[in-house]
Amino acid sequence: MDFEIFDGAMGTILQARGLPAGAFPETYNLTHPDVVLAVHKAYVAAGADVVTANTFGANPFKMKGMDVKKIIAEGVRIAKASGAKKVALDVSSHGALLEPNGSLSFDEAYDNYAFIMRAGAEAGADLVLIETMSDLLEAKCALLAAKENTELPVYVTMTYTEDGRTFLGTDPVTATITLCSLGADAVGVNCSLGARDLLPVVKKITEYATCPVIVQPNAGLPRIEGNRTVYDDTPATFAAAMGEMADLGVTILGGCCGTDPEYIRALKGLLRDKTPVKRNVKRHTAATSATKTVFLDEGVKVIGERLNPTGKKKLKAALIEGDVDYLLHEAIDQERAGADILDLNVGLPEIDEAATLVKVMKEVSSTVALPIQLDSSDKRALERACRLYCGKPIINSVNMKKESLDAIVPIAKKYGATLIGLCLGDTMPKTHEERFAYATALVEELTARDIHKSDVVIDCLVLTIATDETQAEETALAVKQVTEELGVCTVLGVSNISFGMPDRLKINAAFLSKCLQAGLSAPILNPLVAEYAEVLGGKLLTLDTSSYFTFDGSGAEGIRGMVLCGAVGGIEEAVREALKTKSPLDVINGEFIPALDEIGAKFEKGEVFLPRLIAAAEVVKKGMDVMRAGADEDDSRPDVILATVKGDIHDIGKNIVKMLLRSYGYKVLDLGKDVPESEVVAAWERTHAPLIGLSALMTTTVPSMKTTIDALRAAGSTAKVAVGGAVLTENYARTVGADYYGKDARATVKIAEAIIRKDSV
Amino acid sequence: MLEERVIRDALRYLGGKADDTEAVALLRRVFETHREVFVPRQVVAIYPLKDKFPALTFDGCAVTLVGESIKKHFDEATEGIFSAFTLGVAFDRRVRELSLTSPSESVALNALGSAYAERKADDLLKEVRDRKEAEGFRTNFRFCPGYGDLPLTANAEIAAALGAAKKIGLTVTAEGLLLPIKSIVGVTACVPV
Repeated sequence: MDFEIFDGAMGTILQARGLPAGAFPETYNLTHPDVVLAVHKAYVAAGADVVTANTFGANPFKMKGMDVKKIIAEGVRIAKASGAKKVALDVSSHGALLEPNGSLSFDEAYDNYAFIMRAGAEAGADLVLIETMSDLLEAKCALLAAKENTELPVYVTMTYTEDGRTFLGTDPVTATITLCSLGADAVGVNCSLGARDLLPVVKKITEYATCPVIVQPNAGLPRIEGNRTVYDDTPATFAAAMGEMADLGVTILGGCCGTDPEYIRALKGLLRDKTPVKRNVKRHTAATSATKTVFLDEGVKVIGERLNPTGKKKLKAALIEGDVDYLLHEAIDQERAGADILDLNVGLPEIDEAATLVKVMKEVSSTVALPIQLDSSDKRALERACRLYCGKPIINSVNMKKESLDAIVPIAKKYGATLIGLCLGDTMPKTHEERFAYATALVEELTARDIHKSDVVIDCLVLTIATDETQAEETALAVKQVTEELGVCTVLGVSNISFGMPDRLKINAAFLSKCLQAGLSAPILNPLVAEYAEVLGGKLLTLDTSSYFTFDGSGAEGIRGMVLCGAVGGIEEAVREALKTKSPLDVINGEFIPALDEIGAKFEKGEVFLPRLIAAAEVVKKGMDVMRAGADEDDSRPDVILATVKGDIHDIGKNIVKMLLRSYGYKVLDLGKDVPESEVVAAWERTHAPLIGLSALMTTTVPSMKTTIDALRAAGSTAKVAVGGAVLTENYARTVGADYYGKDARATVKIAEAIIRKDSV
Repeated sequence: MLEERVIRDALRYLGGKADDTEAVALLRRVFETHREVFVPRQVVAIYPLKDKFPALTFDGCAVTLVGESIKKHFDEATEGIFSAFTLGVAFDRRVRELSLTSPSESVALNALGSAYAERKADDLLKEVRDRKEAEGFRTNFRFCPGYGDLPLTANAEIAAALGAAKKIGLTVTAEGLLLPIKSIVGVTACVPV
């Protein structure tokens, strides 16, 4: 193995030679090929082994109306003409955020990358360099496109800020583990900072990368001098810091913004006296999210089990109705209680599991920082979810049945997932010896199928003691044996031990304690249960649901007073007390609604500010929850469908409307943000809700309102449509074909009252 | 002081009264509690004005600004300060999480973010404006796409010229929307005195 020296900057050099800022440097491949070739040749003369084709931003998404394939082909051709040993197809970000952070879909991004990869490979590139990536999901998307459309080696580099994270919050350990698991041929960092400032990031990468490490820093931090951007590193200071990186085990080195052939010459000179350092990297058993890595082989990790409809009526109803907020609450509560990983299972016969798993996974992973354990036996659902997951997921699970192995293992392999092997096959294991035999067979079979042993976690299978009291002991013994003899991590679904028994939590806690002593790595449990927190000794926290953001309710009297003050504390007790003498409907119509009207009127007059109105709605919601507890699930159709229209991701206003409508007792189906017209139409066809509320913040997305309303009318919708958002006016609302204009949340409530309660606005 | 100005602005955005001491105290507490997600980043570049007809163009920069409003903004100007500012995605995520767990707090934080972005972007831009004024220019205010008849599509051009995606993580959607949400892109004119 020898060092591989890359070139330095292209864009900043072309700008110095007259390319205007904001213009596409890649167009020079067609208009100024001699200039591009001269830059490549200068790098080759300076000692670069690999030159990077001038294709960084050549993407059909950005270069609309241009012949991107030709630009890429010419870029590669010019680079090859430089005489370099290798030519890298240069690929970078779309410059737009992928869903759920932005509005660019994974599939659209993938199609663009696939196009680029095929064009580069056809033109004769020797490798693919995916660089300057901030979004780990986009990097994954590009890496998959490269792997699935070419045979070329793929190097991936992320860009980090001064705080050691990308703009989207990914740390180098998380990126490194995720990208290595996905099969990158080299991983590392480019751009970002100067070489010396990047050393801490590079050190982390070298500790975890199981493939070669590549580093291409800037020539220092850019700063403005006069009207020019300048960089502070000299070729000598740059090379000196790069030498330290080589000592850490970096073997692929080059430059980024602000560097030129002199920097590469200095680098080449320095590396001449060095030999590549071999790194000894421990392969961890890990799972990652976009922003966090959890090591299952370092201390006990708790896997939260609450996102699973089995035995949970409310969660089941939320999944069927598409009430993602309910699931997100469950996710947040588990994170706050101290869970390390969240198990996610949406398997219900009533829903499309693949579509729902992906939708919920996206929402959960954009709300909490924890890695997700995808829990499904549906091959299609797992494949799609693993593909779109940002990070290294855990798959729960595969067993020794051939059909399970054949279905699940290729997915885990392709997407670099950590895979739970369940001790189960054609027979049900009862003893620890039988479990251990399955565990051994699973480790052998999975490694034979090219899953690294560190990516295998064994579930020793918990069976209830209700039918066989030896099961607790046998399971714990199996955990001990698997841990000690196979050297892999273990998980257990703890609460299964007490199925069909009374006093379940005590049994579960005792079993948990026993298994932890046996070496259990990761119990799957409800992290909100106090009995588990005791056993886990401070690992779990008592969930504090009180908020410091409370209004002074000291003078509040009765339900009305509490709503008016926005004082949440005490409302549940007050409602319970009221229900002793009044019907729920009397409490709603006699207490909640008048109080909400009163605070709403004060808000309209400017006597209270918006958070006070929202707090009143929160108080009412909490009171309503008391009334709903124990009542049968409400399976009536929604009164209102809400959506932020296609192209718009500003949904705060819509969420305020939702909150207030719900506090008035309306049943709301929230379709979310960036919602295509077809989804709104489908929701109406499914529910026949009498009112549809659409929101848009910007002038550019208001046309989506019109197309959505037109589509609803064309589909025969009889629903009234109300629209709202910062740029809308009464007139504008009429122009897009809406029936009502909701100036604010209060106005929308009045519209709902007029339509649904047949009052007048 | 920045904090006081931000709280005052946020209170106004939320329809509150300046003498509502409870509201001010709550906003201050929210601001302090979530301070770590206010991570301002700005990128600035200055380009000489090349032409004003039929649209504004600049030397060394591939941006074309159309409309009468921007022409008026650049009346007698010879240079433009291009700026892009963002608070980052962590702020958006926090607002989102709070919208589920503490909606009133989320609304308050969102308003504080808007107010902070405006004020902080002004403060950061002031350093550049002071420099230009020391060089003998008069500078006006930051004119943003969406003002007057300057289309939102100009966001993408300005952001590209500044390398905003690469340098501060600011992106523009196909509809011209800025992401992260608390972001500002604009142009300030420099008029020789």
